[in-house]
Amino acid sequence: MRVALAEDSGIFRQALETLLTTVGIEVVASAATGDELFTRVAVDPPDVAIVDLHMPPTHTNEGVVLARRLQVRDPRIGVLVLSAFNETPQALELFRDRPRGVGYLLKDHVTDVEVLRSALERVRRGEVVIDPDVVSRLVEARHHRRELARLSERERDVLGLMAEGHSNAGIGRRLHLSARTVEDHVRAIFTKLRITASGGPDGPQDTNKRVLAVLTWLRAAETR
Amino acid sequence: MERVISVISVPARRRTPPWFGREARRALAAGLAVAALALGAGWPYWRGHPAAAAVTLGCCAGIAAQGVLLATGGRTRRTGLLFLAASVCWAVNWLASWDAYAGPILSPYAQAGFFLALGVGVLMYPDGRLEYTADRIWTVLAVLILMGGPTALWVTSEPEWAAFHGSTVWWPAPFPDAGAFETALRASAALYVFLALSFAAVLLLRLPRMGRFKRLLTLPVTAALAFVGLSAALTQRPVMEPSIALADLLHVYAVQGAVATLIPCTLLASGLRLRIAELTVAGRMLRLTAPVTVERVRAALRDVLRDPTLELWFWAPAERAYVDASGRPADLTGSGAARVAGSGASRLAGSGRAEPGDRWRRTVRADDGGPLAVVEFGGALRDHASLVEAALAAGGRALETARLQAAVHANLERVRAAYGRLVRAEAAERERLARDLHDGAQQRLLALGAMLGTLEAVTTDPAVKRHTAGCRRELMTALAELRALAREVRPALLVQDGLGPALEVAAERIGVRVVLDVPTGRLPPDRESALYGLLCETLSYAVERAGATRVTVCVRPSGPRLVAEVGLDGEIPVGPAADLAGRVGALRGHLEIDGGPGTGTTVRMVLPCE
Amino acid sequence: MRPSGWPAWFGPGVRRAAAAGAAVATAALLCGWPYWRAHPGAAAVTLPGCAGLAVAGGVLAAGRTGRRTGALFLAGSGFWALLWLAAWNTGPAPLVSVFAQSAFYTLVGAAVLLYPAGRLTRPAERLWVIACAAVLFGGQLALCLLSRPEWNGFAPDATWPSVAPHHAVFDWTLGTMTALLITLAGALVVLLLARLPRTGRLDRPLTAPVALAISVIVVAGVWSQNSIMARGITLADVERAYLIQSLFAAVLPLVFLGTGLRGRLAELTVAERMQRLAAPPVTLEKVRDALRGVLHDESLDLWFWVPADDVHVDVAGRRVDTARPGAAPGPDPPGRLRHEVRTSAGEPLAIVDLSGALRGHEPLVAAALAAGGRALEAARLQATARAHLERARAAGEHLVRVQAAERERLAADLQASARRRLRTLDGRLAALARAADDPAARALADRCRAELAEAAAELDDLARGVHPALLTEAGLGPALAAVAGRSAAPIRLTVPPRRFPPEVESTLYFALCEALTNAVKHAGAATIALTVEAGPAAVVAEVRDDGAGGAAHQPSGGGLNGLTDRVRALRGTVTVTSAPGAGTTVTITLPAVS
Repeated sequence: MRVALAEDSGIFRQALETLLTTVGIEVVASAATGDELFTRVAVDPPDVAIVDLHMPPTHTNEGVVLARRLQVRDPRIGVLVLSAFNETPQALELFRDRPRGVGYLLKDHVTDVEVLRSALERVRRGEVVIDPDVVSRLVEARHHRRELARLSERERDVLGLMAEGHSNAGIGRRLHLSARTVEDHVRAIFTKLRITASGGPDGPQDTNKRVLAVLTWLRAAETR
Repeated sequence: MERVISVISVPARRRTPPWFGREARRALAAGLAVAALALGAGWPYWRGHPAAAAVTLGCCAGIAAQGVLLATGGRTRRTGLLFLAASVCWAVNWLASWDAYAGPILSPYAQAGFFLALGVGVLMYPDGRLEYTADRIWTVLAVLILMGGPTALWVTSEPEWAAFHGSTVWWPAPFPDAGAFETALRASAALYVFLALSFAAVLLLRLPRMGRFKRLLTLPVTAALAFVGLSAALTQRPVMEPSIALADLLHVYAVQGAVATLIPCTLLASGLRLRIAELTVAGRMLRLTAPVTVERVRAALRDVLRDPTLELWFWAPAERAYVDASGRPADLTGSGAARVAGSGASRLAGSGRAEPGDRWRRTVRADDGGPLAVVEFGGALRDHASLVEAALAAGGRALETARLQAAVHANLERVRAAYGRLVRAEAAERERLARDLHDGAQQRLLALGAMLGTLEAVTTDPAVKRHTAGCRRELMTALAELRALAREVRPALLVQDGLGPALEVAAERIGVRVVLDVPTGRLPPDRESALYGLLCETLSYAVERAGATRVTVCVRPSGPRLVAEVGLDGEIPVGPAADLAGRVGALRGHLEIDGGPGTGTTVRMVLPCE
Repeated sequence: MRPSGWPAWFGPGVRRAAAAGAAVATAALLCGWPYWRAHPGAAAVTLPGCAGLAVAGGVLAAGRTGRRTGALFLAGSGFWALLWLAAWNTGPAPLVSVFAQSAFYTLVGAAVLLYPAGRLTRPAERLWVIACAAVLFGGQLALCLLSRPEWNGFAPDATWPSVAPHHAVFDWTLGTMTALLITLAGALVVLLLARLPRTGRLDRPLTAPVALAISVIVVAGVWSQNSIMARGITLADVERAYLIQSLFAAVLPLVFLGTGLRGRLAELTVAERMQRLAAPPVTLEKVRDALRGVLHDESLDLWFWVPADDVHVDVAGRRVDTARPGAAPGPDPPGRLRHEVRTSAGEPLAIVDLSGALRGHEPLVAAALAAGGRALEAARLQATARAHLERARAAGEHLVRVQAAERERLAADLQASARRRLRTLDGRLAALARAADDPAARALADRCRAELAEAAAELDDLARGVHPALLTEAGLGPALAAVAGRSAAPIRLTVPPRRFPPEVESTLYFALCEALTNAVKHAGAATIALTVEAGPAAVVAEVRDDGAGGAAHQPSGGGLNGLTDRVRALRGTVTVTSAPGAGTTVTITLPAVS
């Protein structure tokens, strides 16, 4: 797999490069700003671009902006946005509209090689990846505990994995369930929580839509 | 010239009423003295004519009293002395009634002196000098004609021709000649009429050249004197006939005296008007300066002193400078004010100094002796120092109130500005700290994490792998702790996405269900951070102190203000509420807390948004 | 206000009065023409007197008090003009004249008794008026019936109801009439004098001169009338008596004018007097006493409105139970009068409780209250402003305290992270390095440890910048000593070993650090002296250097500006003296916290 890297902190960039190279992922470009990376990967786009969320000049949401620009230029490119903070609004911003091949990962989890590799793989496949911490914080938030109490424990697990962007198959694999059982769970969750998006056939696009629906529900619960 | 007046005189009890001061008593004494003199001088006539006596003696006393009153004023001193002299002359004039010794020959001179002193006195009123050329020419002519007439009279006549028959009459009569006497009489009569007319003309010429206030005072006196002069010249005619009876002569004198009473009456009226103006100025200022502002005080002073050119500069202690009514700093060059500012312990000190166009200034002092204002007047008001003082005393009170308002406002403004700076400085420092944490230690620790990942990837040693995993867990904890710290230092989201998202995260952290209604648009950064701080504090009070389970936050702009409402199902205790009120107040806003036990609480914060 | 062509004092009422005066004077002139022609001097005095009475009557009739008195005076002046018909001495003129005189005295007497209440309050007064009318009209009628015109000084052909002319009876009636007239005059004087003690202190200066004047007029009238209460007098005698009576009667309008002016003057000058009496510093008591003095009402009370507490308080600060401002005012308590005082901007300020005797003096009361209100307003303004300022200052102080505490906590947290968490991590990494056989892995582990040490050092630095741990633990002296130790220039420290409140320590520490940095960096100082002195009232810290000086004139005060705010928020001061070439001294004074 070929990746490109945009990260303003030199120390972390170097450490990440070393890590990626060590685990056999080719780093084709590495830049300190989003603009630099955007220029450098113009000719030879990588499979996935790993971009820092906070970069110069404003240190606000450069990563999200870069992700959009990259995907507008080349829809096949996957983008994994790294953030030092667990910021739900930014994550949602990234998955707005028709999300495809984007991921949001906390920098803490980059240190786990397996998590990083799996995220990169899924993003390259066009899936949506959301850091489990982001999801768990949403799920564990005190304010929709009452609604979530209607779900069984297994259904809550399924909900979390759905929110993390896993497909029914992925969920089934992780929970050692059949695809059919997962589908049942998903339907039950949607009914119980009155989420309107359909479970639908198991394709990447629909999985991504479902992620968004679940995320939106989790967020909306805060203000309901 | 340095004058010192007191804003508020010591509230001592006066034994005499305010209008009966030392001057008034002295004037009364002088009036009585002159009246007594006139009574003695004209006794033979008064015996037979008590009504005429009453009128004439009253006239004499009035002019004398008026003279003394005027003589105590600075500029009207000469006019006053001339009036006093005139009243004495008029008393002496009645010596003619004795028809003996030097009485008859003195009498015409005294009569001439009376009219001369009166005329010149009025011309000198109220400036104390003969200001215009016409005045001086008239004065010289008047001296010549009025003194020449009686001289020609006794030079060319026998006493009998001039109505005197007494045996002891001293009458030199060097060239008694009936023809010459008659000619002299006719010439004098014509000249008297001419003098009276020219006097009226001179007075009329003066009027347009006077200031508004002066004209107001001079006009009645001028009209009265013109009338007196003309009537005197006309009533003098019968006297100007040869062989007149003494009774007729004295009758003319009585009529002239009665008419001349007009002068002290008008002067008295003018004086009373001034005095009443002084006494009532406080009340008028009071009415005109409600509500108190510097502009109003200026307008009131202009109105009360009838000087539309009056200017007022107000001392702004914060800027240590004088400012005009609209608050712009004024350059009072020459710093007459500054010079006065250092002088004396008086509450109100004045400095009158020559200004271009004869304008003058006065410094008004506060109760504590500090400078309060500088007022500039037109030259015409120089003569009305006591009125100006009364107006400034009343205006000073109002100005003091205005200054109090302004000073407190400025102080408050300064304290609040400093508060704002403190808040901003702290915010800036926290932001820097947060960035330092993020860019420095955090990145290093994240890099360390990547290195551990690398180590884990390269090693095959299970012991190392185990250690690495442990290190990574420890590192995650350290990072989480650091991140929590950084979030506390500065909510990154506030800078990034504004109040709404930042508050969402804050609410998430505090762990309370919050219904947010916050505008999506951005607010000025310092308002955002101020409001964020306030709302976070309110939320934490709501959860920790009020035990709220449902909280609503509504932020909306309202005109030039920002209104933030926090509704909660609990009651915020007094202590935290006071803390909040203090913080909101320091940000120039205000806080209202509504509700009571069982009904929930609404905390409403209104902040200015400039 | 609609601009009117007339000056303020010459209102429609006064104009009507002046017209009435002119009309009466004209009437008197016509009525007495034969006499005036011969006696212009008498005319000059009598006609203005007559007119004056009419004017005074007109003015009174237009005013608030004495409306009836005014009307009676007006009528009286008309009769006085008719009196002079006697001068014509023909036809019914003499008869009209004598009855006009009766009417005049009856009316004037009644008018004076009616002043200023507008009604006859006591039975004696009513009795006097009835008796007066009976004696004057009845007696006059009797005299007419019993005499011939020539006995009264009139022409024999004058119309005269000579029903039963009889010398002896006429003389006897004259004698009786004289006695009755003297009795009536005495009774009037007694009545008026008896009223004086009952009038209020404010009314007395108004009524006393009137009573005195009327007494004089009545006595003089009776005395001059006596001279014609004889048979065989001439017309000239009658006219002389009338003239004397006219002259005395002219005093009356003058007195009324005088008292009227006096009242008006009192209204106009009350502000000045209040200003004198309620001189700053204004207190509630002072204003109340000034009002009592000016309004001559010792029972007056003043209740100040305290908006914060929603109550009125009296001068001693006690709550007073009365209607809230703006609420519908209840009826005034019996014999009392309540007035609300408002600020110049119309805010409620106070309530004044007055004696009911002041009911007739509303303009005076309003003027006095306006002046007193202004004084109170200034006092309230001052108090409010001080409270506002104090609140703002307290908020600032609170803020600095909170900030100092937060910084301390933050620094402690940072320190804790750096020490505890990272030390543990370091230990684990060391163990990892020991466990690794692979040299590459060991090298990597060592790099990790180096990285960790860097991170810890950074956190330590940050913590020190936020709030040095030394300051928290050991206080100002050791913390500043540590700063001095790191400084490039030698610093002489004199700091007491004692501790101060945390916000004082942190504010002083950072301000002094900034001053030291400035001294080293900008002034190029060779030696720097830093002293902190803790007095009973204040902590004074000073940084003195021997550098270039002139810092006060440089626009950039360095970071000291921000610290100055903090010092000021704690009610302290920062002064910088820095003459060029004479070094710089920065002095920071903080009040000691009790």
